[in-house]
Amino acid sequence: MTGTSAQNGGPAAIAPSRQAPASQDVTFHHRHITTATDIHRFLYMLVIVIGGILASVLFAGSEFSSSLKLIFLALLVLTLKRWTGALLLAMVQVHLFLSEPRLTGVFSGLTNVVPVVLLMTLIMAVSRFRTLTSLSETSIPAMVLAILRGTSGSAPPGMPLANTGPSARNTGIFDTGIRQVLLALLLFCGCFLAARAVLFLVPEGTTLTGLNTIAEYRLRPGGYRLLVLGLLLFAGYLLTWLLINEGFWRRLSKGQAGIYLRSTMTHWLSPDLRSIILRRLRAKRRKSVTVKNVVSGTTDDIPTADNFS
Amino acid sequence: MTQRTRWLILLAVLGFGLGILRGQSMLALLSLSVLLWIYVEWLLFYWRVWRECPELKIVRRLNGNAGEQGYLWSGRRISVQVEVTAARGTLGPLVTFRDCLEENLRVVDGPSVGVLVQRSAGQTWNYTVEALGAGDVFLPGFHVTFQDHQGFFNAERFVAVPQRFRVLPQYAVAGDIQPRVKRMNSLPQHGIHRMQRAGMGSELLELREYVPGDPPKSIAWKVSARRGSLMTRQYESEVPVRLVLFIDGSIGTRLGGFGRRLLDQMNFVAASVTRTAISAGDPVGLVLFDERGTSRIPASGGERGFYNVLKNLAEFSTNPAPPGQRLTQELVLSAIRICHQRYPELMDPRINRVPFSLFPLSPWERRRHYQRSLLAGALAEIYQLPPQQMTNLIYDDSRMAWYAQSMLNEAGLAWMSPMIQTRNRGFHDGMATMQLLSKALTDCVSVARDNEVYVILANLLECATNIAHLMPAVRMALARHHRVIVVCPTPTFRRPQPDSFRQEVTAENLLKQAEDIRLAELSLRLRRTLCRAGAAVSISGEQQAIRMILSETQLARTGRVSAAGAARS
Repeated sequence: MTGTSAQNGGPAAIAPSRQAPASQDVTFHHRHITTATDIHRFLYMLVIVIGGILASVLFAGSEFSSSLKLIFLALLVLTLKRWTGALLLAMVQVHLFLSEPRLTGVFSGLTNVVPVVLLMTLIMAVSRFRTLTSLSETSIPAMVLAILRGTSGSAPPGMPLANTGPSARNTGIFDTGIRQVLLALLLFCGCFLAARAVLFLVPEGTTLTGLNTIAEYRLRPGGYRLLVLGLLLFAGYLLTWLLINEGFWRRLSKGQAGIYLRSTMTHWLSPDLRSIILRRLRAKRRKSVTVKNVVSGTTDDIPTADNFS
Repeated sequence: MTQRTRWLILLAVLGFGLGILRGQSMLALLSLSVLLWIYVEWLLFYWRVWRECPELKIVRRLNGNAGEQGYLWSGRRISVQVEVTAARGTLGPLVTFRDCLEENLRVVDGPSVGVLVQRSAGQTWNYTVEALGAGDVFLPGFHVTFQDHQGFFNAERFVAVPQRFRVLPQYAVAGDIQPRVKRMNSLPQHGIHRMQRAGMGSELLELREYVPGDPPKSIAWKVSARRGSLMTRQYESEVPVRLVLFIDGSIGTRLGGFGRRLLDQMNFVAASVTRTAISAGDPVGLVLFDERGTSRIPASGGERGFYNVLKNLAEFSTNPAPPGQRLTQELVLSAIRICHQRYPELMDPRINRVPFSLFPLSPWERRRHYQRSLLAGALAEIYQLPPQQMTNLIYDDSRMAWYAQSMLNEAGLAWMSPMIQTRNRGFHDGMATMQLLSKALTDCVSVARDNEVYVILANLLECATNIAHLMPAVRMALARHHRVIVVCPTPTFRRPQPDSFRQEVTAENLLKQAEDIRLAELSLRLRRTLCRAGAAVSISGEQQAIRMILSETQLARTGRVSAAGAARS
């Protein structure tokens, strides 16, 4: 609509009155944010590629090793479009379910740390990549080209060589990303150790030391172990949940407290309030139908409150 | 907790259970490690949200103004700078800041969403917006989304950074324009114009015979000597030309997107004409009328008068409470979307509890019922309704529609679907406008002085068949030697193309052609009726209308009846 002569082809005599256009300094910060997101995406893409190649050894020794590896790699490629963390985990779990020997009774120690940490790193990289992709507007090929050009070390045309601002910044962002990945790896190792410690609390074996679970509880050792560990983990989770919940309720805002009180009261009185309100609405509708009929002058049966079914 | 987390937990719990039961230690280890990882991420996430959320400090500057109030211009670019810092410590990734902008502001450059990808003390980003139409713009704050790196957990908060701006209408600066009327050779005093009636001016109007009581200095001695009888000089009256703009703010002029409403066209014409008139020293007044009533702003001149007119136009352009509409699912969904954006804490199912009900039975209806109950809870808190009113909202469609519409209107949505159904506006809407306008014009004429120019900017096309209701007021104004100009903006008006019959025959094209023909006929009828009475008419809200008004004003200044050789319309 704006009615400017330039837009509507009118005579130049009526010229729009506009302010001078806003300064164009937007884009340093906008580009900086976009660059950081894209650099992190690129890093996690690298982690997925490397981790995928290493993790495919999980399927070595299996009957359908090459097919499984292909499917695994296909799932990793599908990450470009969708989040595949659950599918990756499911695939490895099914493979272990079918191929891992049962009830070895041998203490496996810490030899399983590498495949566990590797798979968790893959799930982490896939999840982070998808999260950053949802926040970024750049397509993946454009992102890769931009990163390779940006980290190539060559200065943009027209800029003095001494100006290392953008390159140095990109490298700093890359370093931060690598630090985050390393911290995540440490976390995974910690989780593995904690899991190992939890499983050690109730060790496996056909007959647990001094305890015949079948005679005592009519449960197989596996079932007993699952129950005890499950209760222990649930107790730990419940304690944490109570603490977090308590903190959440103590931090309610005034609006949240108001809505909670209102909704709780409505919850208690819901059946009564519902029936009262529905009855009133029905009465109002009957009244409006009656008025319409009176206005339109019909002499047919006019529904009243008495004979309305 | 997001969908990703739920799937991982489900798989991990299943894997752990099967691994323990079957004695497969690797399977159990892997699954338990994943569970513990999610558990640790959960703890870290909540810790981060609790620690960082209260420390968030956001400052928004529009054109360098960080104050809570200010003025903006429509049609001009506005630079926005957003600065996010932590009062203490740093802010960690990933945090998304989304500025809640009204529909009247259109982002032209840069992102209105900032993302914190790595831990830092703060971040600044800039973007540019453009205000599309005059009125009021309220920027309530930022929708902040905290996420962990993996997207396993997210928390939404709203950080209030309220700023309210009055958007003044855009205007065109007329250059050296005298489009159809020849300029007078003499330079009149600024703000004073000739009027061909007897008065105390300096230009000679006529000579008449001396009447006892005439001042002796007005006797024209030479002419008296020639005629042999005393003759008196009669001078012209010199009066300012007062411009009074009648602006129609009825529902029909407010429908449509910002910048495309009829009211926006009228604002542009009114502001442009005001600028030119005040530059020439003529005072300008306003009469603003809509369903709420009429308000009159007395004529004033100078820069103060100009900005007073613009401020009143901007205030008038702010949409009032919308007319009642039937409740539709789209209206409910729009309201829910706005609630999620501006009141995310109120949409948390843990505190906005929906009472259980056996009915409705079908899953789709249950989902609708659930959404409506959530919305009712949020609206009850926003408008401070008691619990029984909150339950009323769940079952009473008209009440829910009213509150949902109010909320959407306050959120700055334009009057379009789903907020207002634009079809079947009703013949009686135009009649009410006609009566208001007629009364306002009559009242204005009754208190008018000499030589006033009345510019009526109204949507008269819809009630053109009953223009007779307005004619008595128009004739009265013309009879008192005032000028009346009627400007009828029509954004949908398109002149029928000469080869329109060659267009593809589709239902849409046929409807368009039918609408064109109907509008052409109505405009012709309107023009004929008004021109016959002596008023000038323009069916346009752009340069044509401005040019015509300026021409008529120039005629009024020179005291001429019409431009030589030029038609009145």
